[in-house]
Amino acid sequence: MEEDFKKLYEENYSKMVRLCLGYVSGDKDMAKDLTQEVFIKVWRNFNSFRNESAITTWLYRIAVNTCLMNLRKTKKAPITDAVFQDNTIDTAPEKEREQQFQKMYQCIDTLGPTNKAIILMELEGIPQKEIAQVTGLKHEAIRTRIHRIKNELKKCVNHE
Amino acid sequence: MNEFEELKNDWTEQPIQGPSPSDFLELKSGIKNVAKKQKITNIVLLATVGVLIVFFFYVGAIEYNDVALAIGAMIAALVIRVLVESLSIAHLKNLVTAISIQNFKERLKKYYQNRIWVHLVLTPILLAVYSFAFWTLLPDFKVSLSEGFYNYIVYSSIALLIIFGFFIGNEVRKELSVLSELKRD
Repeated sequence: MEEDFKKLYEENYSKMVRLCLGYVSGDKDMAKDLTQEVFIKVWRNFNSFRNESAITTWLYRIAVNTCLMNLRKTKKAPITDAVFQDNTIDTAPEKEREQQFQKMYQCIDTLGPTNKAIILMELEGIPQKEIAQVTGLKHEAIRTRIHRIKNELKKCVNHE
Repeated sequence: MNEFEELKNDWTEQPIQGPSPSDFLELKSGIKNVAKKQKITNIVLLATVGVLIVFFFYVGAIEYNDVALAIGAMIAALVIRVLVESLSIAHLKNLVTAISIQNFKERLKKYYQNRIWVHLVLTPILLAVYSFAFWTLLPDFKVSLSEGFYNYIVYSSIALLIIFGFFIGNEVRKELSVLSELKRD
């Protein structure tokens, strides 16, 4: 059992960190702590996984719900943070990309908790049908929400 | 939204370090620590209750009805509040997370609504019981303690009450903000 768990951990660790980053305004240390808590819960529930849904559906449910449980501890970073005010954009493409990710995380943090989960899974390339199963919303509702969230994020990223 | 699609294409390429063998070991020790922490919490709780009961007999409160009643009420108020807090923390930790987000959000909302009830109704009642019981003990304190120590007890209790009031206010504010966040979508 430990081997299966270790495999699941290694294959999904980065995905879980990226998801948690969306709930902590891109703070890497906090995201790693949250990810550890996610996998502690995964371990505690590992025996109860019954293959009724895909393992990723099960994993994302635990991950998002763990992030929701920690809303009290996590603080929102103000949207007027340095990332948005920094016009001396580093010309190094990697640095510039990192700044774009950081902006995106801060914009994602302005969304409500369910919309955050939806867009983070969409960015991760999770099929909309699976996103519907994770959230408990209808497939049609997910499609509409994604469209609306993209518009909100566009405005936020462009600081409109 | 081309910019979004571009970002989506690069999303999984973010520079996030994968887990190292030491990360997995840390996780394993974290798993063990959860059970250990729960045991320690239970021991501390039982010890607190034990110390309060010993204190009750130590001060000989049982021999004087009024004093016994007052000290008993103070201890009961403390024990109830500590128990409610411990049960509440345990309840949050044990919430089933492998369910849909919408379902989980409903459970979390109920949890925080109960917490606010505890802060706004139960805690003030317990605080009032505690304060009243303490107030009935003051004449005994005045007789048996020096004037300086008596004044110290009175003023420090008032200060503690004010600090506790601010603490409750802060807790309510934080939990109301989580509740409104959960109600957003």
